[in-house]
Formats: sequence, C-alpha cells, structure tokens
Amino acid sequence: MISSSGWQGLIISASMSCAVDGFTQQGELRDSFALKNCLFGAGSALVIGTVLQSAPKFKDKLKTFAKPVLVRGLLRMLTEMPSFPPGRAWDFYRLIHPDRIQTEDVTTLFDITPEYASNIADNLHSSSALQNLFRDGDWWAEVRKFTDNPDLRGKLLDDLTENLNLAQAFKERPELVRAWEVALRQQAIRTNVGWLNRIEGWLAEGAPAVQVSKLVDEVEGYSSLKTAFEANKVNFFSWKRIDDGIPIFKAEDPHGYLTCLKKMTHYDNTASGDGTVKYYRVQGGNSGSASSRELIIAEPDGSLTFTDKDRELYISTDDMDHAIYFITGIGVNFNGDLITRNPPNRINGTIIEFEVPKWLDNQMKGEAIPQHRATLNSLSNNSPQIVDYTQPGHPFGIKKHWQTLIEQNYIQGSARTIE
Amino acid sequence: MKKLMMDKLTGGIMVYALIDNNPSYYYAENSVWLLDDWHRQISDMSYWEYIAKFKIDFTTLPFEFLAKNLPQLILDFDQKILINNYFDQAFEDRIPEGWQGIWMENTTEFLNMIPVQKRYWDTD
Repeated sequence: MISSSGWQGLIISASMSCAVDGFTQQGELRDSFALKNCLFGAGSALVIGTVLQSAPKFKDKLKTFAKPVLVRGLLRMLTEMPSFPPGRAWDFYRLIHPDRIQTEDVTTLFDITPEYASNIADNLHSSSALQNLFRDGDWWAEVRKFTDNPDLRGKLLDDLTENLNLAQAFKERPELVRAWEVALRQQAIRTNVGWLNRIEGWLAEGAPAVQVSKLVDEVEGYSSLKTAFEANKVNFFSWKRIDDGIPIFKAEDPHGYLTCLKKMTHYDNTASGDGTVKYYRVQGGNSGSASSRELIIAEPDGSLTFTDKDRELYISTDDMDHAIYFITGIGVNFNGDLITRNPPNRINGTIIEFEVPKWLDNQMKGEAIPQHRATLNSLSNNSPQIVDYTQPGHPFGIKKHWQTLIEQNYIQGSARTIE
Repeated sequence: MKKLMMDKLTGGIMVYALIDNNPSYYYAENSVWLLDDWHRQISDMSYWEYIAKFKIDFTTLPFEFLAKNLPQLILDFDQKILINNYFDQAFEDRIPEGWQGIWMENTTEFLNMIPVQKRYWDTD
C-alpha cells in the first residue's frame, strides 16, 4: 500500500516511530515532547544509514502499540508538520496494519462509534477507489472533524462509503456536511448530491436549518413537490412564505398549494428589470344591479378612475389569459393544463387594460400571499392575494392600499377598454 | 372609533347566511367565503364558530355602510346551497362536495331571494 518505497519511506517510518513512541509514556501524552526535533533526528539517522538496517524492528515495535495511540501520533504529525507528504499518514497506518481493514481500524481512524463500523470496513475493503479517496491528501483526518458527534459521523461515513460519488462531492465541498445534517431524517435526500448542494445553498443564504429539515420531510412525502424543486420550478424562500404564513394550505389543498408555490417562485424569479406590465380587469354584470360594479373606469384619454377602493379589486397581470377564461370559459393554466368551463363564469364581462411600472408589479407580487384562508395567514397585512391558482393567467385580489399605489403610479394614458 | 370600525369594514362583501334555520348577516373578505377551503371546518362545525366574529351588529353600523353594501352572497348551510351575485369571483365554483353553487347575475332577483323582513336596505 505504501507508495514511497526505499529509504524515504523508512524515514517516514522511523519518524513515525519516534513520533508515536516519543510523545507517549505508558499510553499517556508526554507534555515535553518535541516532535520536530524527533523527526529531524530520525530522518538524519536514516540518512546516515544507521536506522535503515533496523527498520523492521521499528515496524514491529509500532505494531505493538494500540491503534488509537498510532492514530494520535499520525494526527500530531499532520498538525505539526504541514509539509508532511499528503497521504503518507494513511500509508503509514496501512504499512503498520496492512491486513484487511477491520472494524477497529475504522473506529480508530475516523473516531466513530462501532454501530456502522463493520459495514464501513466492508465498503472500504471492497473498493480501492474509496481507500484512495480517504488516503489522498489524508482526507481521512478531515473526515474525523465532520460533525461533533461520533455516532453521527459513523452514519455519515456509512453514507459516504456506500456511494463513491457522494464521498467525492463531500471531499470537494466539505460544507455539504451541514446540509447532510439538516437532511438527516431522509436518506434519499441526504445521499443525493443535487439535493445537498441545493440545501447548502439555502443555508448559505440564511435559511433556518429547522425549516429546511421540515421542507426535506415534506418533499419526501409529496413527490410532485420534490420534482418541482428538482426542476427549479419552486424555490425555498417562496415555500417559506407559505410555511410561515399558512402551512395548513399544504394539507388542505395540495394541488392548489403546489401551483400557487410555482407561481410565487415564478414571480420571485422574474422580479427584475424595468419597463411596464399590463394589467387586466374583467367587470360588468350590472343587470338589475342597484349599484355599479365598475370599480375602475378607463377614460377616453387613457386615464384610470377608481370608483370605490373600499372594495376588493380583482385584476390579472402579464397577459389576458385569465380575463379571457373568465369570459369564454377556456384557457391554459400555469401548469400547462387546458381548463374549460361551460358555461363560462361571466359571459357578459368587459375587459379593462392598463399598465403599471414593473417595480410596482414586483412589489405587489413579492408581498402577495395565497388566498387560501387568508384571514388566518400570519403574514397577511392587507396583502395582495394570489387567487384562483389553477385557473389560466395570473389573477390577484388587492385591497385599498394597493389600489391607491396603482392609482398613483399607473402609466398615464395606458388605460383602455378592450372591445 | 367610527373610523376604526370602517377600516375593518372594507375589502369584503356582505353575506346572508342560514345556519340551523337562523338567518344572519356577515361581512368579511372573500377568502372566508371560498367554502371549499373550509370544507373540514364546515364538516366539524368549527367554521360557524370562526365566522361568528364577522357577524353584523346592525345597531352599531353606520347607515352609509349598509347603504352601499347590499348582500352579494347567500349561504344556506341547511340546504347546502350557495347563491352568488358577486361578479368578481366565482364563489359558485368554490364549494365543498355535496353543495350546489349557483351564479345569479340579476341583482334584483338575487335580493328577492332574501325574506322581506330581513332586507335592511328596504326601509318601506
């Protein structure tokens, strides 16, 4: 196993002997031990050839040490000798204990409890690629620092030795350990590199670990949600708005919840740039009415008049899809499904079109909450409501404050009635 | 005080509801009346407890509020029928299983569904 054959390897061997032997006394650490002096002394001795002849003796002596003592010596070498050749500590250990990797080797090298050690030993034994991964750069010594808990570290190492790609990912990005801990309850997630990268990204952006764990549990129980995350159609922070505000939505209307979540993510993802956004409103139905239901009027000069801002104003944004559906009963929704209703909801409706600045549209959508039981939504603050999620288009209900903002900021001259 | 009350009475609609043959008026924002979102609470009757806070007390409401807020939705919990005269949202499509939802565009016909003695807008 050791690749540095010849006298160089023996220098290391002798040095290690000195290191292990020199700083212990009856198994206890010796405070006054000077490692560097020992190493240089051992190296010098080898160079002049006096120790060379007695190398097997060193090896035999080292073998008599308990494995934990040897590992402590190796770790000290790595700590105090940054120039120590990478991978040689592992090589050295294997030189002294070249047999099949045992449970004790695993518990000692990685500082884990025995629960998973047998399986880990089997995995290591059967894969030289895995062994090389832990050897190269003496990564095994870094793995010892993964998590604060030897039980947990054993579980993590069990996952890593079951999947070479996963182990490689952890070697490249040790911060994935944090994501792995957050996803601990769900094996399929915690062993999936894509998900771990995704989770680590959320944590790096400040997502609360407890809430990410909750999301991990949720996606494992809702495959469509998992698929949506994997396709980047939903994001954590939109999910968080529902989880914070109205978590009961998830169980009470899973399809509406997922569609609404996709829309919130879409609004989040498109909340940049400038320009204007077209808004539409369908109104009418004055037959026999005692009072007008025209809450906005498109004046001939393209200005907009708000007639009663005390009432909820329903508008749809971006395209006419929802307005057309409301009148004709046909359209394609955000999920790409054809939606039909016969007869249509409001065959007598009139469509008003106007434009608002993109910044206001971003603001309105960024603060929007689902309409589902909105009076119980803890984030509700006269917020815009995303309504009729599964119908075509992007309909919202807005209260007085938002109507006033639109009234003050809509694009002058843009209002018109669509015939 | 009056302003505070009026601030609460915006953004919603007036609803005439029959529960155990007892008629009452309620005013709340539309999400409260999307009955499919509340189907579990309607089944276990906790919904009625919840909407009690939206019940209208005619002795405290300003006339101008009543004058401009005619009922736009009838909910008959006894017969499981919803009748909608509110144009902007299709409440008639948002009902629990076993309910009947009806869109009634003509406001006069709609208001005539409410018993004469309960028509607060009809002072004659």
